[in-house]
Amino acid sequence: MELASHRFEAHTGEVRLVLHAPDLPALFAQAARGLAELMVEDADAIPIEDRLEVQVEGRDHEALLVGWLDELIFHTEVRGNVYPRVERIDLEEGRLRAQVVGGPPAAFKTSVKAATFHGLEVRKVGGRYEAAVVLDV
Amino acid sequence: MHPETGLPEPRRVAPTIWEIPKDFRPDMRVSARVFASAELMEQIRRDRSLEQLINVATLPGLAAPVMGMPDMHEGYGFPVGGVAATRYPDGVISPGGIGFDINCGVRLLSSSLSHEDVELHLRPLLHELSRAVPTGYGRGSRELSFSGRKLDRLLEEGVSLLVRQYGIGWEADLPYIESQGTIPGARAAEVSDRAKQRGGDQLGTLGGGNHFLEIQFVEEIYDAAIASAFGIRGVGQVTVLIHTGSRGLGHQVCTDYVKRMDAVMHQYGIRVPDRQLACAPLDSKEGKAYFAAMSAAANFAFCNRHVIAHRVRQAFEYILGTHVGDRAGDLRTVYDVAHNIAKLERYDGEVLCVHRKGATRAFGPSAEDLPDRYRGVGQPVFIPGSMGTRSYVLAGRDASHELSLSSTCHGAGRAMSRAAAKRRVHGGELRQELAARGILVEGASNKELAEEAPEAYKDVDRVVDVVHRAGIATKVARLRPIAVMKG
Repeated sequence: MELASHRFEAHTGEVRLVLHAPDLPALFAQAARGLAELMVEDADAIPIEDRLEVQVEGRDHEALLVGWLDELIFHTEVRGNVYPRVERIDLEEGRLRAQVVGGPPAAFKTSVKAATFHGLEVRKVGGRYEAAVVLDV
Repeated sequence: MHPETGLPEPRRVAPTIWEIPKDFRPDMRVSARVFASAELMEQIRRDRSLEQLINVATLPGLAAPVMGMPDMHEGYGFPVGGVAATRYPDGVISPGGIGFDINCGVRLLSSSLSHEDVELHLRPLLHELSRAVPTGYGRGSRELSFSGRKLDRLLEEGVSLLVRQYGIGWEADLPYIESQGTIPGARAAEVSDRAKQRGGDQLGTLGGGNHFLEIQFVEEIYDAAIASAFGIRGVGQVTVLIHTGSRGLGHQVCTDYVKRMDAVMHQYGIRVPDRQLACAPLDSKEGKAYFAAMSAAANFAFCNRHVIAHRVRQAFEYILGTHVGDRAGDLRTVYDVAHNIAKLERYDGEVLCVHRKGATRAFGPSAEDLPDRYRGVGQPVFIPGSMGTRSYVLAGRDASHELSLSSTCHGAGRAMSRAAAKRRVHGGELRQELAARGILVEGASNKELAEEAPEAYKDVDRVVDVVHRAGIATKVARLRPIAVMKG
């Protein structure tokens, strides 16, 4: 099975994070990974010091994805930690529960204010999921 | 419409004004008006900003054409440089029309120092400023942390509380802050605990992105009478420009209310072409709550710039006091103005909620909400150029009331993505170039420097020229940077 992936696309003012994954949990985990890579130079170098239970509610996949990224952005700002790894992720109708792992980076690269709904669509194409979310930086 | 791209082709109706008629798309409720020269319109058409402006024109309750300023560029939902006025109280308010950085804005301080007074002391001055004003992601202030009732009072009372209770800044600053630094109707109870947690220790911090603190000198004066009213006395005078906003507190307020309005707008029968335009009627429970929370976040931003200004005065005194005496800390607030905010303003007897996202209020000489000193002169407007390029001081004109909903541009406006700028510009070389032009830069890595390179922005001279020629705001003075602290 093909692995999940992400890339950053050009946007005049902000950053567009494009995600591909075999299933929805992998798509959400990939979003966390992409966010961490945007925030710091080397996401692999983040120490494992903080394990966090996260819960998000939303009326559809798009609202859950925005809520999920906003949740990580909030914890990064108040705890000073970045969370590139997802240890467990459970998705059910209108709710996401996950355990994320991370720690303090050596330095921050980009400050991310929030995730946006702009042009956001979580789509199933040929049995795989894809989404593009614009982040306000 | 362009036959191949499907993108709108605005019609030029005056040398600096372009229009997209209401019938361009069936869901538009009003037309769209863009202020630009032919060259700037060419740049604007390269991204999706016109399409985004058309999307804004579909919001319920719009009372006038939606406006695009000459520095307009693609945002999310609203374009940056977009203005929209809805009827109060039955029109909508859209948190995306203000943006995440609520009351991002600029404050200009004028000194009684000359370029010669400071040029030999710039390095220690910049070093002292970087020590006194934290920059970067999430960086809080250890000395000035607000929480609980203390933070709630600050959110509701704004800058006057800082002056009168904490002795921060001067009573004389208050008239020279938009809305005197306190937006009426702010309610701390409508700001979530998360927002308060995120921003409570960030008062007096610059943050990241394109925020900056710049020491400058007056390079040219275009209108001596208005400049004199603003306290800008002559070429060579040192000024300080502070550009930042409401930090994590404001970001979280926007996050909370976009989510809330996205969840309920269908209950009000509202459909939007882009979910980031989520909105609710101003007189709805959600609309009222957002307006009160946004006003509280705006007060926090005024307070943030006020604390930074206070620390700038202290740093000037500390470094320059022994050289120039009492003049060192004599940095007067010329004005403090928001460029991401919604305000209730009166047009032809009707109260409208004017959303300005990446746009500055530009009240003309006849406006009532101006300090006595600026009555008959116009409201000061500050247009920072990109890093290391000149900034402009303008004065709002009465014609802006009808032409542009008393709004003007807010900066040079990005023309290139951050990634493209990094590919094209070498940060190290840019730093050397800036140094060769006598501009010191602090607080930015070479990559961060490249992202904010002048090439990544529109030409601020052209942007300012449009609003000057359109009669929205008049050029007063040009400022040149000598030291930049990047957020």
